[in-house]
Amino acid sequence: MSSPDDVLLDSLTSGLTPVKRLRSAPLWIGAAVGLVVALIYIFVFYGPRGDIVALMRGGALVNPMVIGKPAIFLVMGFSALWAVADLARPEGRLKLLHLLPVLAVFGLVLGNLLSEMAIFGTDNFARQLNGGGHVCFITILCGGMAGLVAMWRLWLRRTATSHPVLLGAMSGLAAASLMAAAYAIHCNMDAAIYLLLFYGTAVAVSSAIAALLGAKLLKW
Amino acid sequence: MPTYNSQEWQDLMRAAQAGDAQAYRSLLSALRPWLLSYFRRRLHGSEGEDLVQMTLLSLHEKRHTYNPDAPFMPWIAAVARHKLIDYVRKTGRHVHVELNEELGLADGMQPDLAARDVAVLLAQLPKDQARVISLHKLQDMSVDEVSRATGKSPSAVKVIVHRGLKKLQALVGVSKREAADE
Repeated sequence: MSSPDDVLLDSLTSGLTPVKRLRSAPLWIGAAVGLVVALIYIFVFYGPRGDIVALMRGGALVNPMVIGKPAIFLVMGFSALWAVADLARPEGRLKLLHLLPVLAVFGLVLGNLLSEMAIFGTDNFARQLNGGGHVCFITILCGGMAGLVAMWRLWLRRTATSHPVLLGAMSGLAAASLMAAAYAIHCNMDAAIYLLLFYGTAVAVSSAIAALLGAKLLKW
Repeated sequence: MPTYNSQEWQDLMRAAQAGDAQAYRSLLSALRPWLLSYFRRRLHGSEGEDLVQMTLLSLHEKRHTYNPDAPFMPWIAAVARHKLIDYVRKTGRHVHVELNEELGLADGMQPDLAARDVAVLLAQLPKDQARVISLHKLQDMSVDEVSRATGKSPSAVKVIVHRGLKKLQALVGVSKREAADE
């Protein structure tokens, strides 16, 4: 008579087929495709900001934030994706290096905000915040969530992390940051307070929702 | 201590990922005693069998996450640790935590991997507390030596060590919230 151990081994090994190994390349390719789709969506339905139109018509780059704003969210998005790729396996863990770009961007924006406050005081904030922030917030949040759903369907559900909450949070951070980078080609509000309050909150909310979902859905 | 050859296990796992049932059976058979020993050391002898079966099932379900270019031991040790934590969280059991790297070494892990298990635990504590415990328990410094090194009184060092070890036990054993992400 077979022992329970033999029965288990028999059931696990019978009809064994080759497995499709978890690779990080599809994650990066998927993120790049998602970014392009988001850029097209923003370009077609929202339209590019005025200074991008001027640049496309051969004008000079007057405002560095035209490039700087999408760039900071791209850096955040791709560093978060790097963390996602590393956390996806059981032995994976978060390294300080994964978070350095995010911390650098946060420090840059916060430093800018504090220096503006020191020079102009807080009176300037009301004008800087008067730009339809709710549209930015909702677009980034919804786009980030859509990206997260796609990431789950195509890649995340095959992972086996020892840190489901962290992996969820990093996935949400990546998806929302890339959406923010795409949205930045439309939005001409460049003030640090605006970025922190509307972009930053949308990215943070997306990360928090993804962390909660991660705790439930990334368990194994 | 069960003997094993990590390179052999790595080769077997690669073959198993490619669909070689015989290699996979050899690997699972070889892993059983190692896993049993791993769990029994941490659960002080009881209930290792159930955990071994659960771990083998998880290994099967998640075998595609093993990177064939990476060493096998960190992967299987992480799977076993994950199942152990999941188990103690569900059952609310205490686990005996021996805070020294010999625990991992006894399971045949490389020193860096064994040290990582301890580092993962210590990272859950406030920096000051982790440092005091590390000096006292891992570097074998006396309470007086730790007191001199940290500038804390000997009685404060004793209290910090006592509370820290209790917290570590709770982390691995019963606290659901604090251990939620491990």
